[in-house]
Amino acid sequence: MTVARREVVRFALAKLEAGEVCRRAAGLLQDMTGGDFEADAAAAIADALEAVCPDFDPALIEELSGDSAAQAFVRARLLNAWKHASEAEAQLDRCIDALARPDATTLALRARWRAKRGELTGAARDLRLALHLFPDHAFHLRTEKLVEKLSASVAPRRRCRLALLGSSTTALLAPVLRSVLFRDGIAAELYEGPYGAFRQEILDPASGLYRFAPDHVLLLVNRRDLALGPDGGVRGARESAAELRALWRSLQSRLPCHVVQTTYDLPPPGGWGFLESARPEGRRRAVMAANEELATDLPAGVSLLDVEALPLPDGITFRDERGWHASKQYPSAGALPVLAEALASQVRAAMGLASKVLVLDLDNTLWGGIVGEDGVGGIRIGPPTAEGEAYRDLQEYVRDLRSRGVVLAVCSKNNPAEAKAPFEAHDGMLLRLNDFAAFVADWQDKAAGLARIAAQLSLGLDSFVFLDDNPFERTLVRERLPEVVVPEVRADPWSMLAALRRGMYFEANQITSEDLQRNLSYQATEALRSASQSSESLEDFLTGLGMTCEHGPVGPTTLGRVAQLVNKTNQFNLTTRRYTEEQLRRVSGDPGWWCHWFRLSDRFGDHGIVGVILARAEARRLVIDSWLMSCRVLGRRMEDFMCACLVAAAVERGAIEIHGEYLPTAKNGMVEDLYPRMGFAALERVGTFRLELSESTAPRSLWIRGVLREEKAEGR
Amino acid sequence: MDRLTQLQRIFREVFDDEELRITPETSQKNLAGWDSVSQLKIILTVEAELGMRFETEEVSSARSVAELLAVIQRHLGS
Repeated sequence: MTVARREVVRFALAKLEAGEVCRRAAGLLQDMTGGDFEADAAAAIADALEAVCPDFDPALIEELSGDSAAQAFVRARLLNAWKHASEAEAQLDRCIDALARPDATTLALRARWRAKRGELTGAARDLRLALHLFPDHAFHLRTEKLVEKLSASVAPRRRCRLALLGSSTTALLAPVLRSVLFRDGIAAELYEGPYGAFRQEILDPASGLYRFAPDHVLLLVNRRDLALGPDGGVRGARESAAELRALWRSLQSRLPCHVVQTTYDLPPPGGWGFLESARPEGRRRAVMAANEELATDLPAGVSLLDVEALPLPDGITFRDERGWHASKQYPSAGALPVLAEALASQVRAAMGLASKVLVLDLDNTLWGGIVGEDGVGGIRIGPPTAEGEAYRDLQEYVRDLRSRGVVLAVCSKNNPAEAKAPFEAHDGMLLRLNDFAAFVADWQDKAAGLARIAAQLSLGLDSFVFLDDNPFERTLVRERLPEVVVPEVRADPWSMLAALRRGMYFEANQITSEDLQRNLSYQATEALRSASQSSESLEDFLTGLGMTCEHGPVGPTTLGRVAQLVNKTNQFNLTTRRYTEEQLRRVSGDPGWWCHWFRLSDRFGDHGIVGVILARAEARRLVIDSWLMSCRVLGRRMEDFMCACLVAAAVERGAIEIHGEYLPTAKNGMVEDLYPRMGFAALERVGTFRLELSESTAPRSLWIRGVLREEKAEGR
Repeated sequence: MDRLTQLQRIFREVFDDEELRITPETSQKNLAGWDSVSQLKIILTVEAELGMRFETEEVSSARSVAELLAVIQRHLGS
């Protein structure tokens, strides 16, 4: 409930008096229909009415006869209190149907009533949907017993045995974890070790842990275990972490189980303030060192869960000092659902139950706007709009999923040609058509579309996640294909990205060579298919890459990245000269210099600025001071393209020759023969080369399309 | 006394007993299952629903419905 709404309800409740109940309550509920339905507010009003009208009162129902979800909710609650169960449930159905978006509390109430009359399947379905909405910790506490009941009586997809060990109390975490797994169709039997005794449990072969014989052991540690002072001591922290690693070995040598280990949380600022981060032995650095120790050479069968990377909802903090001191609760109660989700994601992954396919809508899901109406030029994707940039972030996240082996598909209500156009013609798009294993664009309903995609990919719908901005489509898919996970989102890119992060649907315990191979093979297949000839030559591959190179003079907006490249590129770097940003600013503004950046994109994405040439004019000669390229784009013959640009620039300036030199280092052996390859002739002094421009033999670039971007260089 | 009804609903959910009746006299001594863990669950649920926060000391000291109501009253004034 929002604070303002809470104030209104509180005030109104304080004023409610027996004689005025009906009119005031009806008025209050009418007020509430203006905003979103808030179950807590409606429930508080129902409580008040129940208290003053304990007996059946048709006149009260008559008074509350509005169509709004809030009024239907209160009618349902009152009828239930008066023991008119079936009428109550009918009113609750009306409430749920009237809601613009699903509400966890309301669904849980119906689940409770359905369970009571023995309709367990329907109850489980309601509760699962509610749990997919990521309700808060209080919701979990209130539905704990209901989950236990349903978990025992509704057949699960799978069962597992989980042990929860830690140096804090796990009493509140356990039920949340059970609920999250129940939602995913996993019936979990849970074992909680004696408080704070996880070492003994693991080291004693006769402990309750081994008698329970879990499939998964979750180890919850926190920074207090390290008992660090302000100048913490990195060595001691590392030793504690090494001790944990030894415990994993002991455990797994006795029991073939999957271990999920949480990292140590970073401490809040202590009395030594920022020195605790700055000093070599500072407390925060010691905790980081312990975590580093945990992560280094992580053994197979152990998943490490970084608690600092949990996607906490707004307003929720991870730490709770009161909870720790009052009940050894760690982390905060509010963070428990996210922590449970993270633990569950690792369990799902180990059981092979992580989602595998992400099906995406297009309009207002992958870009802003409707391509069929706004046209390719009218949709928002990429800069300059904030919305467009956010959609690009979303696309980047999706592309990262794909690079890890998640299968992507499109299911859109569109004409196929229009649906595909942005992928082919809009340069703000990160995702390309061949990133998708299936592409459905038609006017059929989306449940049918998803079923077709499942058939085409031979993958089960229970491994699908469907992202769509349209509440109608989401509701339809939830009803028709309940096995598909449908994240609840608001119609903006930030909300969609947050939902994907919060859901942790595609988590993996590790990245296998198979995961990567899956996409490499997709890419290779695609590259070969799109090549003009069927032979498997390098040329065909390069052609198939569809490379575009933007390039231009170094200026204010590119200076930062150029400086970064100049200072960190080691392999493809002819002279390895380092310059500060200020020095680069000076030479790039000097008309006697030619300072140029190169940015490469291909169908796998935009690689950003990946190449730099700095050259200075000496009479009718251009001298290459620096030439470097990021190793991310090696093997694509981008050097040919860069050289061609350089030659063109030299000719334009009226130069007759270009000089270059190679200064060998321990790392730049790969460019030792670059100048001869580019047609330069060796000069007498070792490592110096010359290209005569009169009858240029510089290579032309055959595979890269160039786009010159002029940016006014900043004057001195 | 609508706070009592509200509290009763929360108790009913946490203890999964729709018939549960509580009075101000209900306490950890006379309600089976009201142990320290349930205590925490009740308080966290009340906090989330009413948008308030118990003091550290109140978390363990409010051992009866009357005491819970008193804490709520102290914080919210109703």
